[in-house]
Amino acid sequence: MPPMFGSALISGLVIGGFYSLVGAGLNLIFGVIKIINFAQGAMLTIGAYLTYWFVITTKLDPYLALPFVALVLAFFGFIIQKTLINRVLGQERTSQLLITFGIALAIQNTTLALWGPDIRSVNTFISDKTFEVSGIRVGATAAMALLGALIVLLGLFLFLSRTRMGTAIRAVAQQADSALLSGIDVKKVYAIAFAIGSGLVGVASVLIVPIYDVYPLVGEHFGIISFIVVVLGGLGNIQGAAIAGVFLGVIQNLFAVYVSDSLSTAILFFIFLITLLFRPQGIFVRKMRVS
Amino acid sequence: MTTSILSIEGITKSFGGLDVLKGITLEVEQGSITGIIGPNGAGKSTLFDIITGYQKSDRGSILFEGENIAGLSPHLFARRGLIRTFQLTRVFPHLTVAENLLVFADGKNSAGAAGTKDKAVELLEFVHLIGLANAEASTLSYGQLKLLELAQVLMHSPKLLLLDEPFAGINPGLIDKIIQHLRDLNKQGMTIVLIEHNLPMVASLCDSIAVVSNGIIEIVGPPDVVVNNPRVKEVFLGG
Repeated sequence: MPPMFGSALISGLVIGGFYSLVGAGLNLIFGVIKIINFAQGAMLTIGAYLTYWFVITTKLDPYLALPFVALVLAFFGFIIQKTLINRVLGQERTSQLLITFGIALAIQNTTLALWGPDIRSVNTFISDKTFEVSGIRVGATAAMALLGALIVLLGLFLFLSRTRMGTAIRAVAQQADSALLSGIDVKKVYAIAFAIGSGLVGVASVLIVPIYDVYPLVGEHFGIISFIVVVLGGLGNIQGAAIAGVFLGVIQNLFAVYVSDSLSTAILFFIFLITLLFRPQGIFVRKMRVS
Repeated sequence: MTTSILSIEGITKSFGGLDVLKGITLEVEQGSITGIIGPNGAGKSTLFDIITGYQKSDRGSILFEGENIAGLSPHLFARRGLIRTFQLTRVFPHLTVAENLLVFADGKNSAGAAGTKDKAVELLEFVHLIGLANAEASTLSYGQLKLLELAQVLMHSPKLLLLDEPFAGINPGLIDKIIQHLRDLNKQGMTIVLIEHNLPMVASLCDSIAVVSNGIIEIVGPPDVVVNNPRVKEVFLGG
């Protein structure tokens, strides 16, 4: 494999892993609660700053922040669903659409007020380590990000398909009326789904911080791309979102290396438009549908 | 002395000025099988929706085991032992047939997970769906969906079971078997209320029949009394 292609592929897989995590979370929330979480990117910003704050305060490695950040974001998501979103469910669509948009703006402005616009960075004990695979040099942080995303997504699939709570989540996503009938507290399941979707963003943010700088809009790019992931993977299709994220990451990087770096993000939006026009149900098989 | 498991008193419901229920009062005796019959649009399914919390009544009260249950979330009804089926089935389309049943397991099976699984297998055998246990529910026919829905609610072992047209679309050969099973469950203590259009079938199965028409209960009583009522004969048996 040519080294340049190999490097672009690896980088694409890494960024694709982030897209998958954030997109799978967004798709889980949409699939179960049927609301579009415009705050998904802003949640990633919170996760990035929490990781930064953890490192500064404890002097520990950022990867050790993973359980803390994932749990804090999951709890934050749970509270948002319980206190804000559950209140607007059943109301007109505009309220449901605008509430997460409002949450996103509140988060962005709060992070700006708390930490200012300065760009910060965080190093891990493996920041300057690399290793070689088939002549291709791979950064240890990139490998860690890819491995982390893979493990967490696999865990999510197993949770949804093998556990009682996972089955309940899928049941609520597909037929909330019948789920109520069976005795499932649907609003609690909504909050759990929102917590899981937010927790996935928490994992992504810890894996991102050693690679990307931390600043108030760090999550915005990933938040926007996660919508392309959801459309490409199919609404409510978690597995589709995971594959779509990786696919988009690889396409973006290969395009940047071989065609045009400056148009590498634009190509994703072109794919987004083409998908919406010709295959709005998404392009991947519907293996793990929650809805 | 018999006691009521369900007491419905003066239930009214309007939709945009149209009075669908105009003061329904009905007592369901513990351990009975009660049939509700009436023409389409009489308000039978709306009554089920109100009993199970899917819709709120404008006026009236509903007591389940002596406790006012008006305003409770529907998921709490199932936990208290009151469960229903829908006229149009609402199973989980992308779960397997087996998963559809397991969602309805109440988690209190004394034999644990193995007991729950055994019960699911037993019910799937009973409704002739055991061969389709791993198939997605979306691949089933309408009749099979009705059977799956019946198995789901039986999975919950309810005290009071409300069935909305349970025999619609089901193979006639299987209907007799289901009726027998409902009788057996009733003998074990389960109270059953069912909406059904087939008057002879309701008469043979039920202890009591309530006739709903124009939003009120016109007649209620034992099957022989109701079936021989001239008004019922006119509407259901063509005179």
